[in-house]
Amino acid sequence: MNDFQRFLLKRAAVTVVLAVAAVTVIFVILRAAPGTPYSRLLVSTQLEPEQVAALKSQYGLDEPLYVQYFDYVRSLLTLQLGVSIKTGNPVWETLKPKLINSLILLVPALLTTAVLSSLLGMYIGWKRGSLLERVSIFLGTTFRSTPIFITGIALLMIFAYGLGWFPVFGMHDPVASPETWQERYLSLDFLHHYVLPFTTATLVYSGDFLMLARNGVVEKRGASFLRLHRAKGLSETEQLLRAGRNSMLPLVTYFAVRMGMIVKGLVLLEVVFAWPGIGRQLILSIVQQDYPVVQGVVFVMALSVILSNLLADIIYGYFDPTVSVGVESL
Amino acid sequence: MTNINRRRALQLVGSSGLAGIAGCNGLLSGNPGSGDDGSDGGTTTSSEVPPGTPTEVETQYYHQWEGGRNENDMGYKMTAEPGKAVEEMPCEFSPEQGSWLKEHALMLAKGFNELGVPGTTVSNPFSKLVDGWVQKGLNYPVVMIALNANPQRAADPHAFFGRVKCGSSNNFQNYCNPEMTELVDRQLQENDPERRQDLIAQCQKLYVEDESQGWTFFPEILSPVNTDAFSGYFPMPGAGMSEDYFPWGFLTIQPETDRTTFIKGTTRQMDRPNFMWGTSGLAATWMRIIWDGLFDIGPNLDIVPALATSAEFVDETTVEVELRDDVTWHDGEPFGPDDVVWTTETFMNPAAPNVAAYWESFEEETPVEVLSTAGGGTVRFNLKTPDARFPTQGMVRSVILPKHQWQDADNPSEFEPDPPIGTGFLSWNTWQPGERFELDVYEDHWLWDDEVQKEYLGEYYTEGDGIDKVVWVNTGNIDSSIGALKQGDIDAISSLLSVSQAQQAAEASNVELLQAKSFVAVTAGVDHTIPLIRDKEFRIAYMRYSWNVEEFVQNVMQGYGTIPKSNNPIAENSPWYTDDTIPREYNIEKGRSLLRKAGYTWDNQGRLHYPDGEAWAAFVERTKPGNTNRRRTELGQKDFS
Repeated sequence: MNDFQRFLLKRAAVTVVLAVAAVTVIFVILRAAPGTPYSRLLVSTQLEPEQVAALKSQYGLDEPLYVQYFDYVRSLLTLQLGVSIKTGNPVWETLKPKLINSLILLVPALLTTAVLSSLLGMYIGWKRGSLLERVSIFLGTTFRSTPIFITGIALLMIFAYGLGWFPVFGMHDPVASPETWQERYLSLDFLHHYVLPFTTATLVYSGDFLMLARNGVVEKRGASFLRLHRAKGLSETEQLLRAGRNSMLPLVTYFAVRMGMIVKGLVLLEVVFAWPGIGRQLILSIVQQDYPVVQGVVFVMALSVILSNLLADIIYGYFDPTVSVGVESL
Repeated sequence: MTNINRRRALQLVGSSGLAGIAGCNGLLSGNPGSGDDGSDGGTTTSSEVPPGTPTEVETQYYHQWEGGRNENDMGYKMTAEPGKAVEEMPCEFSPEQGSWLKEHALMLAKGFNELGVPGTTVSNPFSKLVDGWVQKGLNYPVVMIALNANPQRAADPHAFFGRVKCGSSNNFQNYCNPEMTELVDRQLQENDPERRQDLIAQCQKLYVEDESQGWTFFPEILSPVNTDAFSGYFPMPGAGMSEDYFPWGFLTIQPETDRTTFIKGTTRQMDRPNFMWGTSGLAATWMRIIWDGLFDIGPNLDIVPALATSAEFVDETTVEVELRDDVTWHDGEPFGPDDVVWTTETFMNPAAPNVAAYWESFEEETPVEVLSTAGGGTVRFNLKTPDARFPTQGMVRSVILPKHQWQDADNPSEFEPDPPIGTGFLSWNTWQPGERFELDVYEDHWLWDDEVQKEYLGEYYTEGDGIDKVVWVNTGNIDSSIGALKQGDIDAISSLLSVSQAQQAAEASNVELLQAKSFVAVTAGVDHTIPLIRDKEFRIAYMRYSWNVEEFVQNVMQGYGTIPKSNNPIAENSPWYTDDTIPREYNIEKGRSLLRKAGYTWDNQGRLHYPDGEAWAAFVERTKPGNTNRRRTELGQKDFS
């Protein structure tokens, strides 16, 4: 087994441990919360406590905790994620359309900002000290550090409530009833509703890519390989492209990490814009104490973060042998 | 309408409440006290307790007095001792139930303070507030709940009185008066409407006389509506245009533009249409639009015909029901008595929890049978025991399903009809969970008949073609709903709003505020296991004389609330209401006078102390099982003032 394979094995083991820990923490935290999904029924309906107890039994909530835990783990291993207490349907059926809605919003936003902000970051890194650099850094860090719901609400106030250019909420017009996926995701109505949440997400993600790219190029500016290129007579743009290419590693790995985190959606963004994604589903399910759905959502989120970190580690380990071999071996 | 704003009101209520608490704390710091429970160190005065009288009265379940249940597992424990300062009395509330609940809790705490008892407030999530009630009873001496105006609370008073029977598992307050239990049982068995009305009046009278539970005020339902797009809004009691419990609000609205689709914003989500075997409150509301019951609740909260046109008790346990003629399901199939029989039997096995609560008295062998198929048909329901609420709740809160769509389902509790077919005044179009729910007007329904509408709606009847569709769109949060309403994107909000939210929405020129009365008051449950609350003299002093509800409604609710005459759960706009109850008034001196006569004392810092000496013996007698609903004078006790 070579160094890289050993490195992979170690990382995979850590990933499994993290996944088990995440699954357990989710389970325990939900059970530690006060009340049950059925507490409200005692006052909101005429159900007798005995009828409420029968409902709990129907979903196995009267079983000892360890039995519930092993049932839960079994449902995860079979990738069914259990059955929603509220809908009676498999959790995955509930989550799948919401996950698609989140990805449709967030993946293009991440890709767009990754490309544009990185290019801009490289350019301002090359033009260090310029007005453009100062303005870009100011805006990038402002959007990065401003809570997303504030950016979202600000855009809503200006462009929806104020100017009336864009709708206030949702993915489609209230009277529209899209039936095909083209009508659902490729219509002008969808685009109209898409602009503000997309722009908000793009702005929020922009700061990280901008600064990573900019710092990478700044570090490379004085590097000997660039002096060689300059001596060979390469133009400024050609030198910038080479400096940029050599700054790509942190950007690629950060993109991988971000891509994993994207699955968790941007909960507040989805709430502000009433975007029917996985983040808003999480909030609704928490309020309803629908344990299986909350467990399912958090599991999907945790798994994607863990796997994306693994991917980032692998990328780093592959491209930078000092990571996979370890300092001691050098 | 007062001009005092909410912040000022909070200051008023809060400062007086805190002043009382501060005063009591001052007392405690000046008097180390001898409280042995370590709770507050209340002072004890001289104890000349008559020989043989216990020197402690503990928190107890009424069950425990009769032999024991959950002996060491009680929600809140207090121990009364002769001459001891009365301990702190927390009032629990859940802020998620409404933005004004904190102020309301402060009003209740202030009532304690004005009697010399340290009143405090405790905030908890709603699920925690109700968690453990079955095993432990209430978590605190006073627990506030803003109940929804669910239709079952309008349909039949048993929704309130069924919970106050001794030994009932949902009697969370542990109030027990055998006389009340007997009255509740009798009204449940009384099929004659007039005699039952009389028994219900007696229930109300006794309930108020005992000060069983507090019912402070009926909050008005404020529904901002888009008047540019639609007109003719009907202020349905308990719903306005904010809740979707009743059909009447949808019948009167008329388009003012070309748009005939009425759009409601919502932040809630329907879980599954099959609410009968589920737990979703919203599905139970929305799907009752699609699936009719045998009877319905009318615009005046009376019971009106739906799929049935009449029901009659032919003996104590047999009800014959005439079904409406010429009714068709949304797919064109005829409705008939077979549907009623099939639905009833199906709901019993496996038991459908969301409707079974109303159908528990069915005979298991033959719960229902077809008597005739002539006209709409006639069916006969057979009950095990007399159940007067069957016509007013059982037949109202159940729904009838189409046998032809459901009969092939392997397990009806898991069946999801696609699309759900009903007979309701709106029919299913599309549902995108968490996003959008669209229903179409079903023109063949009797409620769209102008003559029927005129008969029931009277002055609220509106002429015109009405709407074609209703769409609920999920707006994510209330602020988005308000914004969308102001923009004209939606026409009403399907959610209860606070006064400030409703007023904010009504600022727009296209929005007006529709005001509707509620039939369910805000309640303050009191724990009848606690010695102080078990003393009826204290209950009366606290619940009848110490709450300044008027000030609260004027200052905090800005006048948008109706104050009932007494602590009666039945609203004045209900056909079951009686005015013959002992009125509540804010009069601290009267309350203190009652306590003085009952032997309570105050120290020089205004802190209330339990009775002592001979008066303690009287207190012990008043808090004994069987005496907790009897006055001092009824027990022949003297005036200790």
